[in-house]
Amino acid sequence: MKKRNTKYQALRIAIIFALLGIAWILSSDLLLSNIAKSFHEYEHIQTYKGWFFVVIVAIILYYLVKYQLALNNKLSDELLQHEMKFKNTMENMLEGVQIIDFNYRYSYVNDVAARHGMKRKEKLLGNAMMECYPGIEKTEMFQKLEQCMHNRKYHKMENRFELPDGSSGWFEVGIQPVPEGIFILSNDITDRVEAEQKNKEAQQRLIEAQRMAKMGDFTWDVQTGEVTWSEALLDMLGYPRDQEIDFDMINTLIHHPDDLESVTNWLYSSLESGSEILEPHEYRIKDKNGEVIYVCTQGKINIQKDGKKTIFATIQDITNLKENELKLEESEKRYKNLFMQSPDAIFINQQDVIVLANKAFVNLVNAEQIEDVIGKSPFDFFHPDFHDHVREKIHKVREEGIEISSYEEQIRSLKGSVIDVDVHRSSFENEGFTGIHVILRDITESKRAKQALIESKRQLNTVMGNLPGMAYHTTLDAQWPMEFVSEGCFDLTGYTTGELTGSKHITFGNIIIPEDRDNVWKTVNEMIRKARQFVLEYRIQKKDGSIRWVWDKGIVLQKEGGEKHSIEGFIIDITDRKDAEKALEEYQNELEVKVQERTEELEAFAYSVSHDLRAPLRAINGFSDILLEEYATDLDDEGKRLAKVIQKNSRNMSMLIDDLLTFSRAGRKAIQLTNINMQEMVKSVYYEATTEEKRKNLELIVREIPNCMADTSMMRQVWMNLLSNAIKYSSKTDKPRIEINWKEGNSKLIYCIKDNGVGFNEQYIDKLFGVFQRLHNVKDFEGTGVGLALVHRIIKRHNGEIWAKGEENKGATFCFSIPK
Amino acid sequence: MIHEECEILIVEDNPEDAELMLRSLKKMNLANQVIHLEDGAEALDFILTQGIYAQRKNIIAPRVVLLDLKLPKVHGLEVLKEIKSNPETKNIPVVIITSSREDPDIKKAYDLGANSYIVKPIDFREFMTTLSHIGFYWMVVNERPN
Repeated sequence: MKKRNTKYQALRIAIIFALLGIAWILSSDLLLSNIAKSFHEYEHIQTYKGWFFVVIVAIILYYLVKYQLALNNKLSDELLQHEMKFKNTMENMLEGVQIIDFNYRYSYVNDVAARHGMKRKEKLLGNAMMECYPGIEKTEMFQKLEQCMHNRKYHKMENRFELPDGSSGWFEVGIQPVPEGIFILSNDITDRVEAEQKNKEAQQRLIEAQRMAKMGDFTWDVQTGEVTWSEALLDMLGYPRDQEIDFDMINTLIHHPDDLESVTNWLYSSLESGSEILEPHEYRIKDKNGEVIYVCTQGKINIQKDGKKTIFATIQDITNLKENELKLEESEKRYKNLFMQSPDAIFINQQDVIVLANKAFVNLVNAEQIEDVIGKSPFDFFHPDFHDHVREKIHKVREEGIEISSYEEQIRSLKGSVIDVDVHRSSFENEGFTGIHVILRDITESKRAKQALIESKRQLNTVMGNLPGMAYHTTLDAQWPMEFVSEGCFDLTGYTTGELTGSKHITFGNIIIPEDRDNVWKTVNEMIRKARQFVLEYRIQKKDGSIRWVWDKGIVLQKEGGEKHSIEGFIIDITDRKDAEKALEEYQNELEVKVQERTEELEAFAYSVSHDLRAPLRAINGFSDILLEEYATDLDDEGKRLAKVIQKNSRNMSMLIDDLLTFSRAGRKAIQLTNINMQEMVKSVYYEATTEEKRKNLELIVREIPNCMADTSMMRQVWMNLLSNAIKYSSKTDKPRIEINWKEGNSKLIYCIKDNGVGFNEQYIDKLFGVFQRLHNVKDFEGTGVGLALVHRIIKRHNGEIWAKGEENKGATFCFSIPK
Repeated sequence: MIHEECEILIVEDNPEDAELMLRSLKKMNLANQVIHLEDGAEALDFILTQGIYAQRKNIIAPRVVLLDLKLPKVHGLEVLKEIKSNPETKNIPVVIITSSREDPDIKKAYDLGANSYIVKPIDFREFMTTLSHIGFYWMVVNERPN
């Protein structure tokens, strides 16, 4: 429209201008001819008029052109703006805009479309779709485009596009034919689609949740009677999805017959009440298998404007809950039972009134029945002396809600007797009120037992106090810090129990005299390592300074974890004993000395006696011999015989004295042990004891007897005596045989000499080794009876043993042992 | 006795022992100049030519002294000591004839200078034999100093 206007406008302006010009010229000429006086003036004015005219025209032209240009600018600005707006709109559209020409080339693409297509605008513009998105020809959208190209109709579709980066999205596409080609409007509905999907999922989850919560829901259109069950409800009851639900089915199969009435009442009363809320109601239903399920149903009643009602309700399976409820009921019942039957007396105190009590309590307070105590105040039963105490405890339980055990309160029974009790109080919820749960235990018996224990402890203490020593309990520490000492410590140490056990004062370790302290510590530890107890003697210094010997026995008590050991023990003062021991020792030493002196005196005496006896013997022998020799002719046979008797007897006496002397010497001479070749000694003694004549008739067998450690001269004496005996006592046998043998003993050597001589009667074996004891007559076998005693003495001094076996006329065997 | 010549001096307090000794010496024909004293003091006076025997100064000393240890008044060992410590008499052979076989006595005797130590045999025959041997030895075999 503007175009036309422009044309006409321009023409109009030109015509006006021309007319105005003409008008000016004519008018001005007219004016001028009137005004100008000369031609010359006329010419000047004409020129000025001309200039004036030109100037006016120029000015008018200037403003006109400016106006026009401005208008033009404005128009073009407006046009530009419009274009911009248009472009902006396109650009700012949430939708993607693509304009393709008839060759399927992109003539315009907005940012969104470019984004949708994941390509740069620049890449797209001017290029064919097929070039930009290879394969696009196969898509449904492209087909629609083609259709649109041909039938120039609007098409709409939703499409899932595969994008160049491999991802995909949902797009709603509007295809609009436009003069230039096709205008494609695309909407990214991926989010929407996804949201829809999520919604679906959420719905599914909700259904699942309902299923898990054992919830189902249903709707009931009251007017039409139509009932719809949710999937969850169907599943909950085990019915298939295509199950037909109607009233009959519900009433016969679903509802539990016992609850049908209550359900019906509940439903109808709710409907009639006009309320919009269906209050919860619990009842039983049956599932497809006939199993009973407890359910709780609640919901909304939707009342439409026309009064039509629809119920939207949820049903929840509360079988578990119900079961738990029943269990709780049962456990409450059980508790009640327990409460009643408990041997401990229990009552519930509510606001200082006994509201509940059990049988035991009734018995405790000597009541007849429970009713006698219900309603009374606990203070009626607690002994007045304890009322403040009880009040305090009750207050504490109430305020702080804690449990309190209280020991040794007293109650008074209805008969007036006082009973000692331990009381335990705790908070107790009972039908909305907080009371106090009170348990009482009769401790009369236990109190008695405690008293008995205290008494026995006292007795023990008395006993300990009267013991002549100190019982103690300490830890294993070089300071011996006493944890406990009995009363006896005062007599023992001069310190009181307090002084010894308080760590501020001295410790027992201080009392042990310094010289003995280290030894005590060391010895105790050594003994404990071996046997977990110790016994030792040491000295202490009493408070008064005196030193006393003590005997200490202790046992280690095992303690767990690396704590120091505990020791329990007993200490006695043994100073008297020690003094006695010392005195005894001294006395013994004195005795030893005395004995030694005596022995020496005795030996000197024995020596001098035998020594002095020799001389007269010599004289007797000598002179009786002289008598025989020189006065033989004057003596008859009898006289000679008498003289001989004298001689023989003095000889005997001489031998006796010798033997005695040897015997006494054997007792006191010191033993000097050397390694003795016994075999050699035996042989040598044999030769000394026998003449060649005798040896001819004698069979001597000496086995390989081992060496031994003994005193040479003494051992020689032993062999001399034993061998001489063997020879002597087998001298009367035809074939005298002597065998010397040996055997190994328990860390000793045993030597034996066996003969086949006249033997001896074992009946007299006790006399064998006695001094001067003989088992044979001197007529048969000479001898003084000292020989074996001597051998016995010597062997004993070597710490050996000697014994013999014999049989009359069969021979004898003498054995002696020498320690190795 | 004071002036008698003495070849063998027997100092023995036991008369029987002394008699036996004399007898055996007699048997050996050695009993000619035998003097028998009975206690230690007298023996000392005799040998040391003092006291009652002071007059024996010029008489030749005995060839041998047979000295018992157990003597009254002065013990045999004391006598021995005196004899052997006196320069004039120390050369006189002294034979201890005693009953004691005790070691200390033997040792002491030799320490004090005894020339011989004989233990009196218990058997009288042996005793007498021993004596005759002693007598023979000291009187016949032994050379005396001048």
